Amino acid sequence: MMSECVLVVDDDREIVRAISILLEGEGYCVKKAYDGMEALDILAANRVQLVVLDVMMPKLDGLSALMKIRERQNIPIIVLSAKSEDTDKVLGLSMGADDYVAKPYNPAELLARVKSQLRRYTSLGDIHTGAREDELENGRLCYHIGERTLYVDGEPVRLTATETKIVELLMRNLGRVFSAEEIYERIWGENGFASENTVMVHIRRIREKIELNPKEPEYLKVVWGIGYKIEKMETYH
Amino acid sequence: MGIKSKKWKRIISFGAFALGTSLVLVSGISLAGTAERISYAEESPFETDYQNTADFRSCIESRLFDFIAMASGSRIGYGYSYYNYDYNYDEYYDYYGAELWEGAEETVNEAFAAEAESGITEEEQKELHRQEQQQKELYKQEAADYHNSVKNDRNLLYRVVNGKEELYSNMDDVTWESWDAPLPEGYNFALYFDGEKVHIKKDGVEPDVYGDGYYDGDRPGSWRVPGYQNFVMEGTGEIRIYLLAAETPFRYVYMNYGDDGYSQMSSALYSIERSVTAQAAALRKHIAELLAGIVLLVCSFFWRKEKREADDVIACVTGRIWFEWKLLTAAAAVAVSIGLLFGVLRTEFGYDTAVVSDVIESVAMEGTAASVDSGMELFAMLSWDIGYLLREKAYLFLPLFWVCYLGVNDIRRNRKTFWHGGISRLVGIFLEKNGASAFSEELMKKTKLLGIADGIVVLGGIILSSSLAGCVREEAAAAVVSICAAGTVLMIFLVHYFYLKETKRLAEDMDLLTERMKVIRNGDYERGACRIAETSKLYEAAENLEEIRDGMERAVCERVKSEQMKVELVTNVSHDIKTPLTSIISYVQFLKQEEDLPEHVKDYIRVLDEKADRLNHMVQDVFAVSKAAAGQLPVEIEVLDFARMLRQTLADMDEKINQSAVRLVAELPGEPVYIEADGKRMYRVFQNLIENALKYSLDGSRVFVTLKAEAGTAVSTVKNISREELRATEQLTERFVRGDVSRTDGGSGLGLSIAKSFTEACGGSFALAADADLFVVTVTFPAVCADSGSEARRENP
Repeated sequence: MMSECVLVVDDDREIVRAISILLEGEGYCVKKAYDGMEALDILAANRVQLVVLDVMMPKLDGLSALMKIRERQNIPIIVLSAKSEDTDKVLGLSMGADDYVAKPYNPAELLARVKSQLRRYTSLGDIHTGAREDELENGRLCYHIGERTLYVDGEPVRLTATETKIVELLMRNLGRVFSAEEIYERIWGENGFASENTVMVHIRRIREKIELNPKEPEYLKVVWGIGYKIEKMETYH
Repeated sequence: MGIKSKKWKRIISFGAFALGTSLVLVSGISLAGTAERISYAEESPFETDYQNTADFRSCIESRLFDFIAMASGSRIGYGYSYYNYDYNYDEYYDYYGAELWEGAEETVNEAFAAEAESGITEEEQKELHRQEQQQKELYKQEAADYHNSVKNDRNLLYRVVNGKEELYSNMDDVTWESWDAPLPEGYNFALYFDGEKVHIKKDGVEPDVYGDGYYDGDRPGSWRVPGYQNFVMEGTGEIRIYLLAAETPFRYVYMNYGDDGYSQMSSALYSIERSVTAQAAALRKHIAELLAGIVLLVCSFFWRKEKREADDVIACVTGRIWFEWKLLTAAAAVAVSIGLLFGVLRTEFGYDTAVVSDVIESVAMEGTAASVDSGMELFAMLSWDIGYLLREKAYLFLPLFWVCYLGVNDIRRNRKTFWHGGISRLVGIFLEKNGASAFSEELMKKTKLLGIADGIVVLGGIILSSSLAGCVREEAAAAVVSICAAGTVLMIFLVHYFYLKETKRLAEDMDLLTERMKVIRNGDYERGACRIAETSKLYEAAENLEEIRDGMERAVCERVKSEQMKVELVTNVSHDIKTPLTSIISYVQFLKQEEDLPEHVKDYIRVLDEKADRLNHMVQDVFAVSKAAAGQLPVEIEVLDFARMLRQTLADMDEKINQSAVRLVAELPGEPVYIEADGKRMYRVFQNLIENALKYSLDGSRVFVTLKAEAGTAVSTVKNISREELRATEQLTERFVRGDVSRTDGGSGLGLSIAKSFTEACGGSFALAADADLFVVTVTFPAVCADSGSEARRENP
């Protein structure tokens, strides 16, 4: 398989270098750019499968470059920015980015996200596949009801029976919050007294398996004071 | 129809109405007066021949009696002799301005005869005789005087004969030989007394005087002359009287200038004729006026809508006039009318103000009973002559009518007739509700009390001065005193009115000012409309207040701006720090992955990694705490179960808790405790508190996490025994408030600061307490009732 090419764009040379080392260590081919204009030039000349894009850059800033790229290509774009507010994240995603990573980033997380995005792009293609009848699709997650298997970025994930039951319950009711007692009753079938700890343990384990950064979960979230849910992903484009 | 013609229509219709009513009124009243006279007159009011009137007959009758008296040597002027008649009545006395004099009851001859019978002394007889002679002379003189005064009245010619002697006559230059001879030129009425009966000839016709022979005073048109069977005069057998009355009387005036002044006599017949003609003419005039008035009223009826509009316009005009003026005008009009009426009474009939003042006096002094008597007297006199008033001076009633009409019109169309005036304004101000603030109320109350006190003083003064005026008999002085009193009252009234108004204005301005102060105190710094006028005394104070408010607004703006700038600064700085920090972290990671490094180098790398990580966390915390302090932390408040949240947090930190050197004891209620807060933030708060507790507790001790719901609040505490000696609470809180780092080893130094900011941003309260080694953090939230909020929350993604 031809190694996939990633374009890294940031006005800080050291950061570009660091990300290159990280990605090249995983076998990706890395192209570098230090501003928006350069990025567009490289994209025009080369086949690139993913872009890691900084926001604050001279000549052409990240979001404008993002829009320009989106005019032509549908390749996954991960925005990298020092701005970490929710509003910034929403802005970036709605402008066309597929992911948003705040600086300073956890290298392992960045790597995981790059892999995830590439997997989705190459294996699932850039055509938005409609969910088949026995599939529950939600962003990176796809649960096959018949197979009772959860696919993350197209790859199946090994879950225990209890974990599968929890995931199925939450995937069937995307966005709905279940209290620990409710989950306990549905899964174990008994009255859930002092079930908080048990459920929390399972949730933590599932997180580690499916989340890019288990410490900051994007899908399996705790709604404090109420319960747990899997976040329904908005499609931005 | 244009507006102009509308205006004219109104004017015309109202004018017609006004004129019509006035005419109807005046003529109606006059006719009423005439009707009264007609009721006791015997002839038609339209009679033009004066000789057909009762006045004429009575004049002739009285002349006849006078001449009979002159002829018989009796006293004239008391022309009614005694007569008897027994035609169904007992006695009959007729009053015609003269009293019956006993001496006229009998002729002198008879009196003489009666005396001769009674047997008196000769001396007395002589005296009596002398008196008789004296009397006779007196009578004769009077008769001669009378003859002199009336002889020049050519309207009434007479010839008085006693026996053979012609005593008095002014017929000398007129040819009238005998009764059957034609009457002289210009005379169409003749009367002949033949000693017993009276013969009358008018216009060649001899009417029947005596009818059935009995005199009935009530029968109209009858002549009250001797010759009836029940009206016999004795001792007049030899007397012959001839009278002639002119067809058209002329005006004869006889002036008598004597030593004791002058007297004037005018022709009686002439005045009778004049009054008859005048009355007929007046009647015709009144009827014409009445008809004209009715026609005008009918015309105005067709345009009654315009007239009503005119009424409205008039009501508008009168509505603006103060009630006091209207009252005065009305009273003046009434007084003038009544005064004129009285004046007429006085000049025409000799009434004196004494009569009226008697009535008033008796009312004042003797009480109601006597005043009723005097009043009745007055009324009796008045009603006798009211006919004259009504006939001649009907126009004096007109002002009364118009005052009433305008008054009623005003009252009907203006709602506030009685309330629109100076006094009512003053009363209104007195009764007005006082201002908004205590100050203005006090001010107004004091001013009003002063006004009332003054009013009492003035009233006392008026009473005093009026009683003084009452004591003063002199009219002029009394008038002066009254005028002075009235003037004083008016002046004081005006002074108080204006003073009250001024004070009220001041009080209102003061209210506005205090109101504005209250608004500003409550935190509304926006520029509002200052409603105090420029001319007010308090304008400057209001302006100063506005400037203060401006200053406060600016200060608040600046504070907000500076807070924003602080946040911006922190944001920018933290962003600027994050970029190189990213590189540091990345490259340290690479270093960590290097193999074949000496142990001490690996140790260095570990330190770098740790500190870089800590730096990262700190930057995020600083960012968060600055936003929280500036109030710009976005929070999503929702209803959540406090107990569940704490359980979740403890579950989440399960591993850490198990790995620590302390035991955690949770005292949480089994049933839900609902609060309104941001779950994510509060999780962070308690994560921080529990982490702190785990880190800084004495080894082997217990950490307590509690939650209690009591009296509408949810109180949660995190208690632990501190490993190190705790500094005084004040120092702790001080450092804490300033956001300084209070714990330096491990963890994020701003933890407590963040925890407090987050708690308060969610609407709760955060408190620290240190007692010996016991460290307690208390987080309080108001408890809410669980409703569908939590259910809804579960549905929404």
